[in-house]
Amino acid sequence: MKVSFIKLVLCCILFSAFLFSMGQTKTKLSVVDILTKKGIEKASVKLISSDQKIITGLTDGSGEFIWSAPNQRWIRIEVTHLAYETLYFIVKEGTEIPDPIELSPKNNLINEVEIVNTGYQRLSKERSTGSFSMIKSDDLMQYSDRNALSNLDKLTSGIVFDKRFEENDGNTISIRGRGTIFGGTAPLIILDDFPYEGRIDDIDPAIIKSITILKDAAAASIWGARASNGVLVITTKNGKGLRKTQIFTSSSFRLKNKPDLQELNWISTIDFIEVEKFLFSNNFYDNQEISPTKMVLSPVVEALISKREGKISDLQLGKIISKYSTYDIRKDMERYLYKSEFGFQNTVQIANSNGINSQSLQLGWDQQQSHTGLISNRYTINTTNNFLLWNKLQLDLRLNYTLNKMNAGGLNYSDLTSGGSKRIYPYARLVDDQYNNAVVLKDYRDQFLDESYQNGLLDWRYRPLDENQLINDKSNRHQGLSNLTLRYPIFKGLNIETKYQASLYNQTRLNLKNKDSYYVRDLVNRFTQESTNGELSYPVPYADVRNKSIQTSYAHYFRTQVNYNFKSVNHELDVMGGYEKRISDASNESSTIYGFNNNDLTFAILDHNALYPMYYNKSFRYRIDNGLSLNATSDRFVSYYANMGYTFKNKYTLSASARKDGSNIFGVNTNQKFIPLWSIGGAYNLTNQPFLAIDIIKYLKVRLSYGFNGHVDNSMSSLPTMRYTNGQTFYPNLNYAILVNPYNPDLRWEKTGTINVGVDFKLSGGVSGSVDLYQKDGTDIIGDTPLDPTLGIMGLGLSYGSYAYRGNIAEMRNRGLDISLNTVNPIDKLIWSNTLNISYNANEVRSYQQKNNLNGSFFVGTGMKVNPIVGKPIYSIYSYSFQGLDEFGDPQGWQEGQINKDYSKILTSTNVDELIYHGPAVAPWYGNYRTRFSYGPMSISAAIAFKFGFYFRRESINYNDLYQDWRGHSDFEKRWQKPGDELKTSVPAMIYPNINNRDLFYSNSSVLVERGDYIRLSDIRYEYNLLKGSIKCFAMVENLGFVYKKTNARVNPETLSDLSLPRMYTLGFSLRY
Amino acid sequence: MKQIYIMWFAVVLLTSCDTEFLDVKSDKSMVVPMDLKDFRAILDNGAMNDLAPSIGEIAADDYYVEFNAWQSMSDVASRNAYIWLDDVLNDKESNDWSLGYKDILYANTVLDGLDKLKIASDEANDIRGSALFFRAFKYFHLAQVFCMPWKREGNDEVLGLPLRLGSEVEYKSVRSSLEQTYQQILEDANSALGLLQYDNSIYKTRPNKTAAHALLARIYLVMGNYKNALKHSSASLNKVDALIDYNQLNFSKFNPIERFNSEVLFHHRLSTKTIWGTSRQRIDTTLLASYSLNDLRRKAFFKFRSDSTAYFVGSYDGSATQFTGLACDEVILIKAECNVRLDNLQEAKNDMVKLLKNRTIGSFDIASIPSDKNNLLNYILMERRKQLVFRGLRWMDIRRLNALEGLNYTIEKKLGDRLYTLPPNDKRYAFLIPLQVISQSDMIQNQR
Repeated sequence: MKVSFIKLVLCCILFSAFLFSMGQTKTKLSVVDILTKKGIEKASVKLISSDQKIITGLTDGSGEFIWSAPNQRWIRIEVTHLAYETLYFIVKEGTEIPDPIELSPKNNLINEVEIVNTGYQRLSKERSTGSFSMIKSDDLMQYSDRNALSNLDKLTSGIVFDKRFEENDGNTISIRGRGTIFGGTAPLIILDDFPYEGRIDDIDPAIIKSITILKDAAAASIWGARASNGVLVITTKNGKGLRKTQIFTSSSFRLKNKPDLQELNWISTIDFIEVEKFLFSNNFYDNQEISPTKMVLSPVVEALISKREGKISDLQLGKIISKYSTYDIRKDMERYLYKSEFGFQNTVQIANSNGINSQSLQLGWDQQQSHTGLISNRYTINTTNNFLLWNKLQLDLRLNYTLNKMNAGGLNYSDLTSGGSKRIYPYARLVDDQYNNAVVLKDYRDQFLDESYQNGLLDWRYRPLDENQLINDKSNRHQGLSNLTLRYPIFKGLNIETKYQASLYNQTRLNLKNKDSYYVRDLVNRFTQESTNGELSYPVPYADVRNKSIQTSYAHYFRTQVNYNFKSVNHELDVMGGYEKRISDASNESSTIYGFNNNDLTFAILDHNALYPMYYNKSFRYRIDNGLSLNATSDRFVSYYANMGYTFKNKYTLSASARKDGSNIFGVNTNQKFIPLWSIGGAYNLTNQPFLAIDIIKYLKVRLSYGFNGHVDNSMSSLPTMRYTNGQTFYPNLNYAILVNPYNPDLRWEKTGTINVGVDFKLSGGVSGSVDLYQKDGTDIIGDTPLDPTLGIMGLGLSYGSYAYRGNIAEMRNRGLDISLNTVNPIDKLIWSNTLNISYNANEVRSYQQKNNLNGSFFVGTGMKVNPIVGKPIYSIYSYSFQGLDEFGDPQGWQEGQINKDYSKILTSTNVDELIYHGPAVAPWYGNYRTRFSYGPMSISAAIAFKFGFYFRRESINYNDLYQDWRGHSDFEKRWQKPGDELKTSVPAMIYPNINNRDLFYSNSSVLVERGDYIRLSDIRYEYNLLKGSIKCFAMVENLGFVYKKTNARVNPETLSDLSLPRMYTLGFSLRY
Repeated sequence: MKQIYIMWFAVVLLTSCDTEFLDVKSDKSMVVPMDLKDFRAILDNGAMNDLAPSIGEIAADDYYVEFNAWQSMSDVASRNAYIWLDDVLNDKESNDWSLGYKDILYANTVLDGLDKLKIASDEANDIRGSALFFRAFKYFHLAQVFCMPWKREGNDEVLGLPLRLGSEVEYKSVRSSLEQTYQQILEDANSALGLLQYDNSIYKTRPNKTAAHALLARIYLVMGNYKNALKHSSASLNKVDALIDYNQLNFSKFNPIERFNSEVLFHHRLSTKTIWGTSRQRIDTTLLASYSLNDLRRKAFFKFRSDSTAYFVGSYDGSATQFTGLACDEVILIKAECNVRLDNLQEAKNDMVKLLKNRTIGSFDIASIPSDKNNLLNYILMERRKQLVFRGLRWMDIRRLNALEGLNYTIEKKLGDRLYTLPPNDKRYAFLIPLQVISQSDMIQNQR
C-alpha cells in the first residue's frame, strides 16, 4: 500500500516540475498578514491551472511570489505557512486571483475566511448576512461519543438538549428554542447536501469535517418548509485540498461507571413492610386474596395470611419479616444487573489528492457495551472520489456504508417489575442464599403457581437473572448512501450542477425467546386448556417463539442547480437557483412464529381466531396474538429555490432567498401544498471605517436579516380520513376502519418569521466573538383545542385527552440572545484561552383559540407536557396552592378564598387562572464555558455547563401508588405521624381508605416545586502533542458533578432523574502522517 | 446556446408532472372514506357494538358489594355511581357520555358520506339503515342514564339530549326536550327498519330488520306504548323466534352461554366495570332466592361461593363482559308484558310457557303461571328480572315502572352501617353530565 502512495506522490512532484519548466511569462502575487497587512515570508504557494498545470514555490522576504508561466487561467490556489491558517480556494470563472492574498494567524478563532456550507452553496462567512455557527472536526473529536450530535451543546451557543426526555434521534435537541407547540423539535439534518432521514447513530463522527448550524432566516430559509427548527449541515471529509497522501488514524477507549442505585428515592424496605402490615390490618388485601385473576401478593402479605390462617406462628412470622427487612433490591440490581459501560472507537483514513483529482477512504469501528449489557458494534466505510471527467465536467462520487449490529442486553431497574404497573417489592432478591438465581413474584400469587405446577402446568416462576440467557434479541441495521454530483461550467461565471442521492436503509430485528423463558412459559400456561376430566391441552406449544421485524426504506433525491457569479472591483454577485425532488418510501413488517425449532426450522400453525379461556381466570378469553403487522408510507417533496448575494466594495452585503415547497401531505389541495418562504438580509463590514478608527477594534461586522421558515406535520390531514385495521374484536377476519382525522379544510403549514441582528467582532488582546439577538414569531402554529366531547371527535394521542381538535389555531414567539466569546492570551510560552457561550431563549404563546376558564387539572403536573396558555411558555409549571398540613396530617389547598381540603372540589373547579404559575420548566439561560492552558506540547482544559431560571416538580409520596402499585417514595420517612408534625413537615399522613384526589392534589401542589438552576463540571481534559501535532494523546474525565445546585432535593435537575450522571473516563490516541 | 436548451429541456421534463407526483398517498392504510365498502368498514368497527353506558346498571340493584370491597376499589366513578353520588364521570375522559357520542359521530360520518355519494342500491340502503339503527340505539341508551324517565305527559318540558345529526366540527351542543329526543330515536329506528335489507345478518354485530323491530319494541316499552311494543315484538318474533334450550348448555364452561348464540339478534356489550369483578359482586339475595331449584338459569347464570353468595357468569357475550344487545328472550318478555297489559292474558301465558320450558329441568309446570291479570303481570315482571340479569335493563325497568306504572319502588343499598336510598322519580335518576362537557358547551346541567 505504502509503496504505491509514495509512487503517486513522486508522480505528482515530477508532473508539477514538468509543468513548471514550461513557464514563460513572469507574474507575481503577494501574501500578507490579514491584520497587519505586512508581507509574509516563506509562505508556500501552489497554483493549479484549468489544464491541470501546477506551480509551487515560496514567497520572498517582502511576501511576494514571482513565477513565469504562459497566460494561464488559474483555478485553484493554496497558500500555507506554519504560523498561519492554510488558505485554499477556487478562483471562480471570470475572477482574478486576489492580490494581496491575506492569511490569518493560527489560533485566530474567528476565522474570516471560514466557509460555511448551507447544503446548497458554500459561502464565505465574511460575505454572509445570516447567523451561522460552525463546529470543526477537531472540536467535535474532543469528545469520543458515538453520537455525532450529542455534545453540540458544549461547543456552541443556541443549542440545548432537553434531557428530561429520553434521547431518541434528535428529538431532544432544540436550536434557538421551541418553534412549534405540538410538532417535533428535531432540526433538519443535512448530510453532504441532502436531508438525512437515517439515525444520527449511524453517522461516524470521525468522518465529519464540520457541522454548520443555520440559525436565522437568512441562513436557513433556503431549506423552506422544514427549516423552522433550525438546520444542522454536516459536511464529511474528502481528499480535496490535500497536498499529499495523508494517513490519519485514531483510537479511543471509554469507561463509564455504574449508576449508584442507592440514589433512587425509593421507600425503605422497613417502611414498606410497615405499610403492608398497616394495610393488612385494615383488610385491604381481602379482596385481592380472592381475586379471580390470582393477583400477585407480596411475600410479606403472604406471610401475614399464613399467620392469620394459623399456618405459621408469631415467632416464625417475626423471623420472616426481620429477614426480609435486611434486603434491598437496589443493591442486588446494582450488583447483578449493572456493570460499567465500556466502549472504543477506531478509525483509519487515507486521503490523496493531486489538486485536480482526489480520493479518500475511511474505515471505522465503534463498539459499546452498555450498563445492562447491550452490545452494539458499528462498522463504517466511506469513500470519496473527485475527478475532472473531460473538458470542464467535474464528477464527485461518494459512497457510504454503515452496519450497526446490536445485541440487546438485560433488564434495567425500571424493567424489573412485579407485573403490570407494580414496582418490584423492595425486599426482593435476585440471587438467593445458595447463590442460585432467585425467584421474583410477578403477575400471579405464589400459591396459585404451586397449585398449577401440581396440576401439570409448566413451572410458572420468574427468575430475572435466568432470562438473559433465554432471550436472544439481535438487530442488524444497514445503511447505504451514494452521492453523485456532476458540475459543468457553461460559460464564464455560470455553471450548472446536478446532484443525485440514493439511500437504502434496512433494519432487521430477530427476537428469539427460548421455550424456558418466562415469556413463553407464561404464554403456554395462560392458554392451557383443562377439560372436564382434568386433561390438559396446549394451544400454544411449549417451544421457542421467534419474532422478526423488518424495516426498509429507500429514498431518492434529485437536484439541478444553476450557479452564477460575477465579480468586478467594486461588485460581487452570486446567484443560484434550483429544483429538487424527493421520494422516500418506507415499509415495515413483523411476524411471530410459535412452536419454532431453530435446529430444523420447523414451526407450528396455530388457530389465531379461537378465543381461549385463560387458565388463571376462565372468564377471560383471548386469542393467540398472530404478531403480524404491515405498514407502508411514501413521502414526496418538490421544491424550487433561489438565493442571491451581492457585495459592494467588500463592505455592504445584501442577500435574499425564496423557496416553494410541495408535499403529498394527505388530502391537502395542491394549491395549499405550495407555500412560498423567503428571506432578506444585509451585512455591513465596519472594519477600517474612518469613524471607527479605534485601535481596539480589529474587525467589526453587523448583520440584519428577516425571513420565514416552515414546519410540516406529516401526520395531519385536512380531509376526514380513516384507517383500515385488522382483527376486529368480535370477528377477527372482518376488516374495519377507525376514523382518524375530522374534516379540516383550512389546514396549513406552520410558519415562523425570524428577525435577527448580529455583530461579529475581534478586539485587540485576542478577544473575539459574536452577539446575536433574535425574535421568532410563529403563526399558523398547530395546536389542540379541547372540544365538547358531544362532538364525538376523538383524536389520537392529543393533549387534553382525546376530545380535542387539532388545527392552525395558535401563534407563538421566541426571543433570545446568543453570545460567543473567545480569548487567547499568550503568557510567555503558556497560552491561556477561554471560550464562553451564553444563550437566552424564552418562548411565549401569543394566541391560542380556546375557551377561557379551563379546568386547571389539565395544566398542573411535571411540566413535561406541552401546556399552551397565552402569555406563558409552552413548558411551564403550575400548581395548586399548598396551605400546609392540618392537625390530621392532611394537605390543605385554597378554594374560594379560604383554606380547604375538599380535594375533589379543588381538582374539578380550580380554573387555570387560579393556579400558581411558577415559571418555565425549560431553562431560559444556558451555556458552557471552557478554559484551556497550553504549554508547549501539553494542554489541559476544563469545561462547565450551566442552566438558570427554570423550575421542576419533585416527586413525593403518593399513597395510591404505594398501596396499589408498590411505588413508594423515600419522603414517606418524613410523613406526618402525630399532631404537631404539621409544623415540621409537608408530607401528608398515611391514611386508609386512601383518597386518590388527596394524592393528586398533593403531588400537584406548590410545595413540591423547586428551582432547577445548576452549574455542572462537565469535563476535564489533558492532551499531549508530539511531532508538531502528528501524534496526539489525551485523557478525559466527564460528568464530574455539580459545582452549584439550587435545589436540595436528591434529584438531578437536568434529567429529573434520581440518578446522577455516572462518571466517564476516556483515553485516546491519534496519528497523522 | 445549445447547452442552455438542453438545460431548459431537462428542467421542463423534471417539473412537468408535479401534481401527480404529489397525489400519492402518504400512508397506505389511510383512506378518505368514499365508497360503500369504506362506510361499511366504519360501521363494522367493533367499538360500535361495545361500551354501552354502564352507570345505570352499576346504580341498579341486581347485585351488591360488601363495604370492604367497595372501599378498596380504585375506580371512583363506579364507587360513586353505586350510591348515586354526583361525581361519577369526571375522573375519566372516556366516560359513558363521550363514548356514546363518539359512536354517534361514526354513524353520522357514514350518513353524511352516503348523502354525498347519492347511490340508491340495496347495499347503500342497508348501510344507511345500519347507521340509523346505531344512532337510535346509542341515543336511546344515553337517554336512559342522562335524562329523567319518560312520563305519560309533559315530556316537552323535560331536558333531553343534545341531538347531533351531522359530522361537522362546527356544532353547538344544545339540549333538546325529552319529547324531541324520543321522537328522533323513533324516527331513526323506524327509518332503519324501512332501509335494512335482511332479516338476519351474517355478522351478529350488524343491524338487521329483526333487530330493528326488537329495538323498537324496547323503545316503545320504555315509553309505555304497549300497543306498538307488542306490534314490534311480534314482528320480530315472526322473523326470528329462536330460544336456546338451557338443557343443552355446557355447564362445565366458566361462562356456559356462548357468544353469538341463536337467541341473539344484535350483539352489543356494556362497558365493563371492576365493581362487577367476580370477587366483588354478590347477586341480590332476594333475586337469587327466586330461582327454583329446577330453574336452569340458577346454574347457567351464577357461580356460588363457599359462603353461598353468588356471582354472575351468564353473559350472552360468553365472557366476563356484560351483554346489552337484543335477543329473543327479551323480545318474548316484552311481548308477554304487553299482552297482559292489553288484556291478552292467554297469549301472555303462552309466551311465558315458550320461554320457560327452555329454562327448566324436565317439563315445565304450566299451572305455576298465575291466571289473573295482576298476578300474571307481576309474575312476568319477576321472570323478566330473572331472565335479564346484568343486561343493562334493570335500571330502565325501575325507572319506567316508577314513572309510568306507579310502582313506587325505592332502591336501597347498605355500606357498612349506612343505608343509602333512591326514592321513586328522584332527580338522581338522571346522572350529571360530565363537567368537561358542560364547561365546553354551556349546556344546562341536570338538576340536583
